[in-house]
Amino acid sequence: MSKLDNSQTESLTHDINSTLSSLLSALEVINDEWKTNPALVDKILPLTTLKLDLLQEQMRLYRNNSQN
Amino acid sequence: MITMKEKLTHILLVEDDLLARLSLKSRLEYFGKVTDTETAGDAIAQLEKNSFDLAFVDLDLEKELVGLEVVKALRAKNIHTIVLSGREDDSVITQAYQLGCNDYLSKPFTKTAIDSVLKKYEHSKTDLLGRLKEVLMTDDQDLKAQLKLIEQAIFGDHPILLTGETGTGKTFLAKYIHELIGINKPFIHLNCAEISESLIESELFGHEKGAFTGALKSKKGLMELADGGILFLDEIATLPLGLQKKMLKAIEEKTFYPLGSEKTVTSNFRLVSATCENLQAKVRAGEFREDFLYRLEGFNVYLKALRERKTDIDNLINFFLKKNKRRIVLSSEARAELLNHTWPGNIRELQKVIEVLRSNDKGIIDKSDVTSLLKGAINSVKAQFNIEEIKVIGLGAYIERVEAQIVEQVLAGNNDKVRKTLSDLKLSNNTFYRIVTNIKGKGGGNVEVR
Repeated sequence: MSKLDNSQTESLTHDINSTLSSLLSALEVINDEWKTNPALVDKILPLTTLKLDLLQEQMRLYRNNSQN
Repeated sequence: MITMKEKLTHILLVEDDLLARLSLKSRLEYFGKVTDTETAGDAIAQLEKNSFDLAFVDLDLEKELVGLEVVKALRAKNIHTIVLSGREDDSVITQAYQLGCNDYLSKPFTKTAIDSVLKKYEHSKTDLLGRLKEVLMTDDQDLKAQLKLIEQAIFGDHPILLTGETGTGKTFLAKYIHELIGINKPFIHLNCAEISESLIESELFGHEKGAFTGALKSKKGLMELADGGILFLDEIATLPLGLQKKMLKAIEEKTFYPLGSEKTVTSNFRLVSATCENLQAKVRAGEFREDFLYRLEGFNVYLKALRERKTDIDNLINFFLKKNKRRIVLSSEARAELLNHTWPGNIRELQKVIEVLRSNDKGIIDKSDVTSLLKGAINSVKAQFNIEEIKVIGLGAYIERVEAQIVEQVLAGNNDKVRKTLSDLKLSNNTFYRIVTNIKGKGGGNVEVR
């Protein structure tokens, strides 16, 4: 795989920050609401799982790029 | 957490990521009514249809930085705008601020950051600086600049250190900061000089039953009681050196062990401390930890002495005159006399003088009433001098004797509490022990250092 250029690396960093932000907010909501608002948590949990997978993929890309 | 207000704040949330949008929306719903949109176009359409008080906008929506267009539209309608972005590039942050956004939150962020910008939004609706100026009745430019620091400090969780001479209003200001942060939150006040060195640690940290002789039951410490609110440590300069290290750790980590306990306690308190002493000088003298001072000085607010802000004296005189239903009037000469006094006891002294003037039988106060009152205070000090005796024994010996008498008298009045005496007399440990050693060496006094 070819190395990402500066603007692609910047864009990937931005995406990772955004994914982390979504995950942090989601986990805080789950932590605060799982007893009081299960319907919301049911909606958020599967999205959180998908987002975790996405983070894993983004981080793999970032690491590969750093090693190249 | 910030809670819902009586009149609902209408919030526009613009975020294209579904998970982020759902999470943030549920958080903001504690604060107001939330309308959420996914695209810049939807957001701008919402702005045409509804009125909003506040907006959270992600910069990268369907295409790069299109959120800036939304920011422009929001600011054109003067809506308080908070930008969210995962971009680390300063030029983007600059663009957002140039367009007039009020805050820029860098992703990833937690709910603490959200609560902080919401708190800032709440305060932006009130003229905080105006209120601070009003409560301290000041027109002084330097003091106004210091109050501006408090305005900034309110929004974060950094410690606040209030410095200034005795009577300048430090405790009053600490209480007012509490009022601004939330009157329903705890306000725990401890004067560090009023409590013995052996007890202060258990007062602050709490203790378990049996932690030390006399600990018959467990007790929560003041740091734990201040959770979510303010811990106000007055006369912080008298805090023992050993305890400063322990406090430093507790302030930084917000967790600590009560005495005799193996379980940590977490407390999210805001530290406000006050002193009339020069802490830098105490650091140089080895009496205060430098790292502790740096921690206390999150925001250092210096309250000028009254004699350094003469213009405020008149405002304060008028305020104290009107404070009581029994009204008195000052002649212009009497007022001039008050304005020219140096006020070593600052606002507290001025208040006391007005109260004494009010308590006499006269309704119109003239210059002689003020002069005799202010002179009386000065003479009470002058009367201590006996020039003939000084000539016989020498000034040095006379001063030593006066020092010893004062220390013995104040110590006795404080039930032999050394720390309180140190604080009352503004003495360093070294000076105090020198005086006490002199007393003992001359076989006088019954000073037992406790």
